Amino acid sequence: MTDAPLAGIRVLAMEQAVALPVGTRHLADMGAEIIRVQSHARRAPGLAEIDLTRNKRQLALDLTVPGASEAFLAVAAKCDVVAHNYTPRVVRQFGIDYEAVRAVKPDIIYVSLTGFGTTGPWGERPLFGPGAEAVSGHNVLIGDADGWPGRPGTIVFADTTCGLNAAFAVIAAIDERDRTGKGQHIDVSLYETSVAQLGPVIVEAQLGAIPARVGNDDINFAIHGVFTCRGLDRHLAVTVHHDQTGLLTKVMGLAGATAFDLAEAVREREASDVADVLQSHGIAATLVADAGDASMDEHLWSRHYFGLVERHLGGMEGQVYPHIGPAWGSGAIVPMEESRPVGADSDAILRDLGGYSPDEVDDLFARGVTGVVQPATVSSAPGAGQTRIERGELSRVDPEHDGWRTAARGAGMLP
Amino acid sequence: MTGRPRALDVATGVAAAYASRLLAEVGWDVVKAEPPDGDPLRREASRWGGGVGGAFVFANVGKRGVTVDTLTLERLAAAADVVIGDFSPSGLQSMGLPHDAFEVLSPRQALTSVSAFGITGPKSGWVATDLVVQAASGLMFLTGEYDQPPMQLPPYQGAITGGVAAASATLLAVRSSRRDGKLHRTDMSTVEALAVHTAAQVSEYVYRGAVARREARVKGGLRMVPANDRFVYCAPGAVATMRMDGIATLLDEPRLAEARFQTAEGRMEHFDEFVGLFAPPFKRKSARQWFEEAEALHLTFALVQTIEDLFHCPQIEARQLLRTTEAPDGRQVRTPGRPYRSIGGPEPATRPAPARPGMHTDEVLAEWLGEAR
Repeated sequence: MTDAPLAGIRVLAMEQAVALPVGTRHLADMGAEIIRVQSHARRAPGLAEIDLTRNKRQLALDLTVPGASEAFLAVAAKCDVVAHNYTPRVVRQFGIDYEAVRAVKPDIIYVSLTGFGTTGPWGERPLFGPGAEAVSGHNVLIGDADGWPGRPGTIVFADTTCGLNAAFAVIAAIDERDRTGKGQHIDVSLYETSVAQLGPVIVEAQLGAIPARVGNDDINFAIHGVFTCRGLDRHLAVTVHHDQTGLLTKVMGLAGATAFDLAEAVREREASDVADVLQSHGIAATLVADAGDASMDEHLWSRHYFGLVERHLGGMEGQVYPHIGPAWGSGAIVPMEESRPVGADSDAILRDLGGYSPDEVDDLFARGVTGVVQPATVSSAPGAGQTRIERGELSRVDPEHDGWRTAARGAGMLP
Repeated sequence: MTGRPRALDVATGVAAAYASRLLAEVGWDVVKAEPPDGDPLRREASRWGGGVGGAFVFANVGKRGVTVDTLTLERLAAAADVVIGDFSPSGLQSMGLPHDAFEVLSPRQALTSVSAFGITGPKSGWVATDLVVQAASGLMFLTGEYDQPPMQLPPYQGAITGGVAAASATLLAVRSSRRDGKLHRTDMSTVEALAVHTAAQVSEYVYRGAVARREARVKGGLRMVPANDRFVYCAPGAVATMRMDGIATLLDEPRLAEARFQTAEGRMEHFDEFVGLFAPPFKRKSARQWFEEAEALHLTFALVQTIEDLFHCPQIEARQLLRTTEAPDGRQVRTPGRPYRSIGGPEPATRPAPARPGMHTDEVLAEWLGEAR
């Protein structure tokens, strides 16, 4: 797709975990060529990595083996962007830090994605996404006033946030390079991007607000909360402005305009039905959507929010599944492609970009500098579903879970 | 004439404003157009009361402010490279823009709408607050304790996430426009931007039918425990990778190194016993002490910091993440700067959010439209 915005941009990403892979996936969705570098010494990827590795080429390098760093730099010299999410110490050890890459590609855009940033007293500390949520101040603002700190849903909130910011930083740096001819070193961290998400709160706190856990309250509204509806773990989110209370009592036939009245009125109703009624009168409300709801949401499908991936690996010959899209508001710019096995493109990349001869590439394989990992079989079974429900990990397991097909057909994405 | 690319921000609220602020942070000349009585965000109190206008101060760093009539706004738009706003029905109303503004405004390269549900699709007429955005995105369902209803995230999470995505989308549209010479219109949804967080859960459903819910036992010691002053986040990443020999050493509790606690499965199976051994020792020291001692043993702990703690954080101080700016009443406040550092890139924005609506109208009309007044 030569007319995709990032067509012609090549990114070499030595990436692990979630944050950087999310960032480079955004770039892939806008047409960039992403070369994901990971070691073939690691285990084969499972289901979770499909979301993160689709639309990427795969170069396997074991940087602990002599010759691997040279191969990395040889490919880097042909790239617009080099990115990693290792600690500063590790990339120095491997000889692939900013200075080393800039020596082979002077206008390189080099991204270090770390826990706390590459400098400062905590600069060498490792940090994972959930820790970043805690240390940046998110957790103390989630939950009931008399409860413990909570945490943002999923275990990847800080990772996904950081990845999105990293993608912006790269896009801005490409724009800058195209205007000035200069590259830059982007130093982006889980901690700082999570702190930035709290920007309004940080300023409010200096102007007289006292941030705290307040459940689902917001003092600016007559009603601001979540109400349990009919069914297992079904809820309605509603916000009612002070000048809408009369409207609310009329529309819902309430005795009074309190949260208590509303809670009583919706307890045995379908959350999505109530949301439709309230929205038709201009009151902000929605079903609190779970993953199943999202997968079948006609609104999201109509906006081409989901893309379809035709799977071939891991015993899924020809099956089609929806995957979450880039959220850039333009639908899928490039077709979604299945993730490829670790190292699947090593041979082609090392020859075409690294400049190695076929014999030299054979030697790199023989010495374990590079390699290929066969994909694991992906199970479509939920795995001890009843146990996971009892533990509270799952809300339910739907035996039929392809309701998304109806929505996809409605959006013209399936015949 | 500055030579910098120009963005016109016609937004009320946080999402589109943060998008255009990010453009200011990478060197753009950004102008914010407000209604004569100002963006309602200037008057908005925090979730807790007080803190009026804090979100406005944060989201509008680096911009000049104008108040103009609709005709002049159209001319400013035509003189801009990009226009960013909320072009949903409710967004247009709050900006005082005509219903066809998304079609009529014609900047040179990119026109970006960022609204809750987007401006196409069956829910495009829906109204929303950040609570509703969080709930519709699927992220809120997963937030909170498993035995309680879903909990809201901190304020403006949908708006800020959507803002970062919209800034990216705008720069990409500019890139496309340079290639084909056309105006590129983008229709962003903050619900969708936030929904990206739930990719793994949606996959878990479409592949396996499993509906993930709010996490069990966050409180119970698997992830967070109270120290003698505040909380320590002590099981980051996958619980399965927690190094129990190191934990046993750190807490001086050798029983934690026993075989039955070595795997996540084992800890779940012997949960009450595990928590009974694991949690109480943390009461002996402060969170900061545990944080430092854990580091020495290569355990990845984190502090559960408060907003107040951020103002005294040595890492934030060293990297100057919080920068001083000025609230409209002249008070000096600190605000997160550009959310990343860039060596060799453009200087970050320094200009405070416009203290008064329209305070730069004359100079902007002169520069952008060549009008002396």
